[in-house]
Amino acid sequence: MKPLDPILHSQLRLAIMSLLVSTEKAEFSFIKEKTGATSGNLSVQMNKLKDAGYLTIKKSFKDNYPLTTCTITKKGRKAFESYFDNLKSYFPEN
Amino acid sequence: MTPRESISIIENMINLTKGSVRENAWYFYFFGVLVIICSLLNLMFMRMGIPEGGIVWGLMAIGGVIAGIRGYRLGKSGKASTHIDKLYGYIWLAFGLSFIVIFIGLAKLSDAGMYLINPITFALAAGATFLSGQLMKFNPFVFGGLAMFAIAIVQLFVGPQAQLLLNVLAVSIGYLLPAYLLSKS
Repeated sequence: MKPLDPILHSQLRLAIMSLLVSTEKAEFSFIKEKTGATSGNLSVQMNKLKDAGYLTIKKSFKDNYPLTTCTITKKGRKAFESYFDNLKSYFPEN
Repeated sequence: MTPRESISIIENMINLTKGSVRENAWYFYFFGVLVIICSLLNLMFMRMGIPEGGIVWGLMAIGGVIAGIRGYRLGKSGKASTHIDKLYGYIWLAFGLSFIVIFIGLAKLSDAGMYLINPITFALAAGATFLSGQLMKFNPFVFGGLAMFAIAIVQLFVGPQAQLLLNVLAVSIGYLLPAYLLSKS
């Protein structure tokens, strides 16, 4: 069994990365809605992923309201793929 | 968190990003109805002996612009854009560009070329519908696309008026019925 990346091996961080892996970019409100997390917790976990270089966070304005958009980085995508590959080693093939 | 829980989170989150597929039904309804209107108007003008009746197909170009603007606006206002959403756009953009080249080529052949416009357009549209169905994992569009291929072959062997009636059948099976099933799914 291969070791799992501790940055990704957390419920909310894995959920965020799983959403971002199939989207080009996603708004903070979209991630919040889909994960059901609180804004505070989501911000903390997203910043941890950002610090690891797994995603980028862009802040801008849309219709005079602040808009936070997240995008997965190449490093993040690679880490997610490795995590998924390593995860498979925990399930012996039938 | 167990490995099984990890798999479950990944699966659930990826499935949540697929929710927008149902919105695609609008495009198939829109173009399906537009093709039926243009086909029946063209048929009516043909029967009335008005040779310029083919001009009604200009409505399709207007429809293309309307659909393009809608897609652009939805893309901008959407909270997330998926890779699959982009692929749909690219498939239908490729269809549109291929159609323009073929239309210009067939127009240069005059009457003989215009006779081929319906089957060739439907063969292209059938391919795009088939691929869209595969991407959506929604079989009614896959089978609809295959039915349109078959109708395009039949169109090669019938007269212009029958071709126009077959257009109505093709979009009913290939666009409208699957779009209805998609919106109800």
